[in-house]
Amino acid sequence: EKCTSADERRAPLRTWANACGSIDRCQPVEEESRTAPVKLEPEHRWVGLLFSSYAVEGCVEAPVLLYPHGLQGLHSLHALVPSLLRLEVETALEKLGLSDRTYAWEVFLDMMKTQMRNSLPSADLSRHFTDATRAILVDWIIRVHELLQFQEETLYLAVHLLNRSLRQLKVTTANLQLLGIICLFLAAKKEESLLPDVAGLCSLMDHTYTKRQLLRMERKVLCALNFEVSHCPPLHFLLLFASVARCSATVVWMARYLLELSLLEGQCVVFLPVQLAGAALCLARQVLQECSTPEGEAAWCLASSIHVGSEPTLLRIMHILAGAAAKASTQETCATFIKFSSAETLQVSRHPGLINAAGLLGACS
Amino acid sequence: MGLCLLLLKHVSHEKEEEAGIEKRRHGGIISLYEGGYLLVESDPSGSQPHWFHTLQARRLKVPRGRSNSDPLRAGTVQELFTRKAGLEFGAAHSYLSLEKLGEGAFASVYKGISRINGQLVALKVIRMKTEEGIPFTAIREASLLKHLKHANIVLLHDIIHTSETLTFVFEYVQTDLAQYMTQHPGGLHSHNVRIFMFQLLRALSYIHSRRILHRDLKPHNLLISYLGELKLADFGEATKIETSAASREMLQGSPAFPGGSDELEQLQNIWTVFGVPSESSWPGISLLPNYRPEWFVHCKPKQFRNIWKRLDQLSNKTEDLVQKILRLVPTERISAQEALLHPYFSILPAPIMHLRDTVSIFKVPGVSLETEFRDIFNPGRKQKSSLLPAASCW
Repeated sequence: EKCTSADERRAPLRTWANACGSIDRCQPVEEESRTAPVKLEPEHRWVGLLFSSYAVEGCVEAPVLLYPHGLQGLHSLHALVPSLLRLEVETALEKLGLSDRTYAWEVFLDMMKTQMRNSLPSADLSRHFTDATRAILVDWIIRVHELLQFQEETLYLAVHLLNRSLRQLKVTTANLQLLGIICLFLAAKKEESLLPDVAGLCSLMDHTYTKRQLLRMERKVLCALNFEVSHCPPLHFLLLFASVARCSATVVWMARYLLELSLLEGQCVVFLPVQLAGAALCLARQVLQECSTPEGEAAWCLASSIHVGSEPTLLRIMHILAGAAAKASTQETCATFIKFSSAETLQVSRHPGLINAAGLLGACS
Repeated sequence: MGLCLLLLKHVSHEKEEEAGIEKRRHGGIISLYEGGYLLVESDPSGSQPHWFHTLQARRLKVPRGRSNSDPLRAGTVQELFTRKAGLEFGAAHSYLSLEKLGEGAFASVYKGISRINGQLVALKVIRMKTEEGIPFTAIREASLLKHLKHANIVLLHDIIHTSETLTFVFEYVQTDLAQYMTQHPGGLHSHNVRIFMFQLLRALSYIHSRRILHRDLKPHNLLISYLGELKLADFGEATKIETSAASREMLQGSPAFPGGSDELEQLQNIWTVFGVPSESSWPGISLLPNYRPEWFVHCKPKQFRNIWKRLDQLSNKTEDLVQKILRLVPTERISAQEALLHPYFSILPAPIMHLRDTVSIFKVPGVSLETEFRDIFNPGRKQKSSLLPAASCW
């Protein structure tokens, strides 16, 4: 494997002149219908399980739970979601420190609503850059993010800002790295309590750009983004679902790995955070094939009923992620692969099941 | 006092806190006072090119609308100011700066007027730091406030961006709680405290359900219109966690925890009331970073009414609410939403509980401020001396 040494990981990104790969765009978005929908859970079996494993007095309305994927908008969501699920969501949000108990449900509804804000309608970010170029930039952002020891949320916000800026701004190839660091810098200003100084960022990039250039780009990006720097990270949905579904630590780490891989995939920018999180968790479970208990199955079914996204959409994301995971170790953009091969992440990126993850999905459908 | 609030948070929440104190700065404070006067145009022909030269102060006689920046009601003003070509939102020349109102570490605040619709505005001009770019406080404030629409949260009208400055255009609000308390020394009318407190909790409940925590609650950041509308301002520190000391302070007439010269002194002030926290009073506290009980003089928890004398003169409901809000252990603290339902507020007209977010509580019939006991700007006014608390308390 390449670039595993710590020194190499800290080295500044190589020059941008030769960073533009060939055009490597995959299938257009409309292709969804070609893949057959996959059954994400055995639907009828688990209503009984729920009643047996939770002693919550008659608050589950069985018919409601049988339509987990038919949720259209928030209002219907509000009406359809049974109180047991609500209870679970509230408990999970409180446990994760994302909300107080009192506000948990409103917070959840707000997360669902705000994730739609500034979503990108199509995958074409910029005519000037290929997905491969974007992947190299994102990979570099991931390395810098790790180096600066920022929180996970900052990374997701930075890439979200990058996607939007690539759409809004005309940037030359020479300034692409500058745009990347500015998106990370803005995300840090929004999320972090300790900020790097501009001079430090310049030296991180081998003084390719001056401080003046950095500050000018910051203003340009912020204006292009219309000062909207808020974003609901897919990671929060992932942790929420995993908590409701009582997933094991390995499944959660695997899902986090897959979710971070989605940042590198140009095709993934069109999907909502909730969809990416759901698909990552689903795929992680399928890859790991942990033996299931009735309680675990029931919890998973309950969590599945939150997915807002059609089965074809989720399956499509899972295919993209499975493909990305299978080739992750051989790619040049391997920062995420290395990050998740460490002991504290349970070495999920080296799991043998990932090599044939796509085949696994094929077998399912 | 703001610092003392922050310190309460400091001990209660591990993660973001350490850095919070270092980073804490006073962003621009919108502190304005106008003593019941309003700027209105004396010449109604708004088409004159230099209409703003005719501005003059006169006592307001017209009925007031909901918004402070729109005191004459939109309809009246719209007639005066026809929209001019070339004036648009986001452009610097669409606003006219009138007078400087305040100065903060990062920004200066000016009173201004919109040439687009004639509304009074507060212009918060943010200095671009040449070294580190746009202040993080400005980024947080803009991105958060853009999506907050509530009667008790200051409204961000517009953002103007030029090469040297960044200006936020807010609705204009006459004063803030700090100045209001200075103007009415010796404690506020308990009815008014209730009304302010209700509005504060309404605002907090709204932002908390959106996962936003203000983190810099203090009288300076609670703007008050002459009608009594309270508006939460300055979201530069906003992200996570807070408590409220403002209500006690309003009743008391002096800061509950006067700002000391350093952080440790402030913490000692707080521990003097609550007792230095230990594992028995706050399970898990010893796991927090920087937990150093040995730095403080040992004290036992005290009864609130022994410390803040005025609580003694008020109903039990008041003390009960204060006690529920001022809990050291964050998980025991009452939430803003729950606090709104506390019996302390049951005396207010019932419809007040069911308002839409953007509707002011003063739209409910029967809700209005009482006249304060003392007014340093109107010292000659006759006062009901029996209602005045004994001077020795203060």
